[in-house]
Amino acid sequence: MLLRLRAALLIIGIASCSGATFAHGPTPQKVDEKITIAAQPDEVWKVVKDFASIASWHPAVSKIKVEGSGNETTRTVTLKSGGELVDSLDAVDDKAMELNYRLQNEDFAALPVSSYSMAITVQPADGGSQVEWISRLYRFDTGNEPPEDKNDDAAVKATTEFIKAGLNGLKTKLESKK
Amino acid sequence: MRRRLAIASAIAISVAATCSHGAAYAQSVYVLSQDDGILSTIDAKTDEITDKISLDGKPAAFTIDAANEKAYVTLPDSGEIAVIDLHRRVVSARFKIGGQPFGIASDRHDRLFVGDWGANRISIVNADTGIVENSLAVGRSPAHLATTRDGDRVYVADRESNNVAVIDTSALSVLKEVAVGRAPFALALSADEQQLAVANVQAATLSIIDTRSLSVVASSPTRAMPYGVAITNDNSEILVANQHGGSVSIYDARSHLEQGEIKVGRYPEGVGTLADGSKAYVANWFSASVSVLDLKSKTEIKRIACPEGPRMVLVAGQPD
Repeated sequence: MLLRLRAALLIIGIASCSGATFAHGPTPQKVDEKITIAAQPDEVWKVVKDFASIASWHPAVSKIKVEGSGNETTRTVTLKSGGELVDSLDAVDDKAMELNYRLQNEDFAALPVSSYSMAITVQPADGGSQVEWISRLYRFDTGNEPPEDKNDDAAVKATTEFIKAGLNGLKTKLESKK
Repeated sequence: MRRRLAIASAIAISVAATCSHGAAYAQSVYVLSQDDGILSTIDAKTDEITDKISLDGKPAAFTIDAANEKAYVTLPDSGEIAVIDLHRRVVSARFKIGGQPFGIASDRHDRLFVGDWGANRISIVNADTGIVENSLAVGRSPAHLATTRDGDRVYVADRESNNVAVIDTSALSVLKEVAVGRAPFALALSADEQQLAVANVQAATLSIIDTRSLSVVASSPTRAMPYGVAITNDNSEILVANQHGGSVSIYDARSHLEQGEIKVGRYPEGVGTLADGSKAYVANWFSASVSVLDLKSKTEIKRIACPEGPRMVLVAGQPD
């Protein structure tokens, strides 16, 4: 009797755990990074809007595979660390010079997040450009007791580093063209 | 002495018939900020924040019980519901119900319907005692809830199951699970309670459910990541907040075609409209601001700075 009750409790426990891994969790986190680049906005935007270009400027990226077209475009970004990020393109706004995409997979080896959406915008600034890269993301473990490497801080830290490295790589690529 | 609050709604609450005469009411707009844990009140005449109530935690969603002048706020991280006395403007109770409470609705009969994001169920909570009296299995990751005026039905957006669960609140049973687009998150019930608008985040569509046949009668494409939805009280327009692109799209509520788009702050989420349909308020999650939209001219007329992480807006009116 007692044994049966325990088994039932165990099943409930498993059920709620598996629910949490599918879910995106309750508190979205924010990352906001900017960089100025000594290149004209249209020149910068041409690189940023090309969904395949990340392999040519992000130092953490080793390989990219782009599939589909238009709003059905997805890319598989393989990182030098070994992980993979599968991104789906949401919008390319030439007028606002804004690119939007979001994560389709979960890969702890790539980034300790369960989901993110990204927006990269290009604006004129001081004769050159300012690129702003923002993200809304959820930690990898969306349960209420996440371990340290899967909590909000870990997710924000890793995503901030990924974005910063990308912006620096973008700057290097565009400024070395001159 | 009990003043009556009348409610116009964004996500969880439909509009009380008593508040359709906008001029007779001083309306308040309530904005819930998750990161700073604050419920702000905006005076709809001056469009300024007049009051802030601290929740001590990371509140995700709330509902207002008009007759009792109370707001009930979910705190998923701590498994709590905070009860706010809107008259005294204080947190008057905290119910520890456990799990990850997210979407919430009141059945107007002292029962709260609370979605548990991680456990895929709706808890039925006594609004006075905080005791969980019952629970009902729904689809995966219940997000926002909407309820009818007399509380006979609750609609639940089951985000990870791609459907809307329709709950009969007297029988405490799921009448139907209506398949919608991928990742439904926000809901809005029209004032006549005939149509339910559903914003599907991943599909980038707006589904319209006929509440009599409980079937999807229209589906319109939206911009990327629609996270908030509201219907004006006269049932003429549906407002959808698009996180990507930072805008609110306005749809004709009959043809379900997009009529216009208004740029707002970044990553907008919850939307609420005033009872007379003159203005709408949009929570800009990333920008930590509220956009005030003039619905006649279809323009943003003000942006109000607010505490960090605003996600949900409800509009309530009360007699002057």
